[in-house]
Amino acid sequence: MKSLQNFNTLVLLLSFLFFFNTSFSQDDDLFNELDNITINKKTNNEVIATFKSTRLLLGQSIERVRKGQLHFRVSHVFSKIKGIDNFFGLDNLNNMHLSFEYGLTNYIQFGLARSNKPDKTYSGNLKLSLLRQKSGKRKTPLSISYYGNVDYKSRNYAPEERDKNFEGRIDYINQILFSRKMGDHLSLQLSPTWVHRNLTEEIDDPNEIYSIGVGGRYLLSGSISVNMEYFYTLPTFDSYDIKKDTFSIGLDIETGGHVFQLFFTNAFALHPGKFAINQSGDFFTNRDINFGFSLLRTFKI
Amino acid sequence: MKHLVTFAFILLISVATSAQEKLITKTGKVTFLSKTPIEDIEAKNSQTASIFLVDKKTIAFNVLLRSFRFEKALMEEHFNEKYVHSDKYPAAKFKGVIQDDIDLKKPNTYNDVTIDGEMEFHGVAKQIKVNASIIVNGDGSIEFASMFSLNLEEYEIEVPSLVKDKISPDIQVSVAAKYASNK
Repeated sequence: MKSLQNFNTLVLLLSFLFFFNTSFSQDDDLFNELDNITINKKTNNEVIATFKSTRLLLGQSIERVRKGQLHFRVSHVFSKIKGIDNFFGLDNLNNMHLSFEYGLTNYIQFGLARSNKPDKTYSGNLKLSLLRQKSGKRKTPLSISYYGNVDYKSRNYAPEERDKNFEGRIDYINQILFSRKMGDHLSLQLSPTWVHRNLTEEIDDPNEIYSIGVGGRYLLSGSISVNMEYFYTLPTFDSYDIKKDTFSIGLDIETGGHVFQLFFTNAFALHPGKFAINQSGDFFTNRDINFGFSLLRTFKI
Repeated sequence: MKHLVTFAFILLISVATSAQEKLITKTGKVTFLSKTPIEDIEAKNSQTASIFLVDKKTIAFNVLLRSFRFEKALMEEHFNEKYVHSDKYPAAKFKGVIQDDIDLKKPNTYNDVTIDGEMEFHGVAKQIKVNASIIVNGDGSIEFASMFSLNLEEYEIEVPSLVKDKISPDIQVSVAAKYASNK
């Protein structure tokens, strides 16, 4: 009987201990407990803001248009900076590119674009976010996106047969974009590009053109980054020789929802079906440098 | 047999008391508003976790900065990247104690309650005092609402000169949480 009573006391003591324990440990663990019940704590560790916008400069960046958002972009490029007589190129607006990009979901984006030079090109495009860089316990080192684009060249062609050849007006562009944000400031991208042209200008030109884009950005401050981009076209396509590679260097300037880009480039085409091929001057030896800029405005639809 | 009953009884009491005094919500709402003549920027977070220790009159919040939704997705990215650095400081936290002598166990409405506490935001911890209104409903559920302002400079959040006239130096924060009763 006595042992039972002892046991009883022990149980009582234990129970009280338990009681006090539960009510007193709460306070210290309050934030831990809050952490545990916070929604999205573990899932939302995607690396964001690899680039300021969906363009590195001329080419597509890994960034995507989020669900229900519409990006409207106007890009201009002027003619060669060759002296005061044409006001360093600004007298001649060489090309204008308009584009709309809409996020169907956070991972699928559709776009329409129009570029006036050289072929009065209409483009329809699609970007898929296949893999997203993640930090935390389950790391993903890279982001990977697919960018596909169909160009329709609407200009007048001669002779008439060429003009009537609908299929000959179509080009296809496929890109796989790989990027990695290396830290707060530096982000790098690799963009293998394949352009298929149904009909070429010259009979000797190949229909398939392959190009590799490399580029990156470095954040100078929260709002401004320096961007660089180079498209190296593989030597399957040599009739334009040194004029085929595109080099661009410029700035991203972000002002809360708007992004401005200012750049120098040897390209005058502003859509990937062209600038990744052959329509560029020589940036370094001949100083065929054009100034260009783009304005991005975002809307919620 | 007797000791088992005692044990069960005390266990029951201890669980019941600790459960009763702790109210939890995962869907508290935090909104902030930056008002300038040029632009009003608003962001909403409806996944704020909060614990209300009724007996101790202690209230704590955990706000994930990544869960704030802006009208423009691009702005949301820039907010996380440029201003609050949510990679480094993922959450804003607040813990405070109600200073007034109020009874949170009986239905009543208290419109001007003072809470003394600590705010941790962007790696900076600060003692702050906020005013709140608290409604204790008949079923034991509690509604909490508060509005206060945060000075960006005090929390070492830099606003670049380029956007200085678009972002207010003082951000209006409003908090609303409803805690279901445990009864």
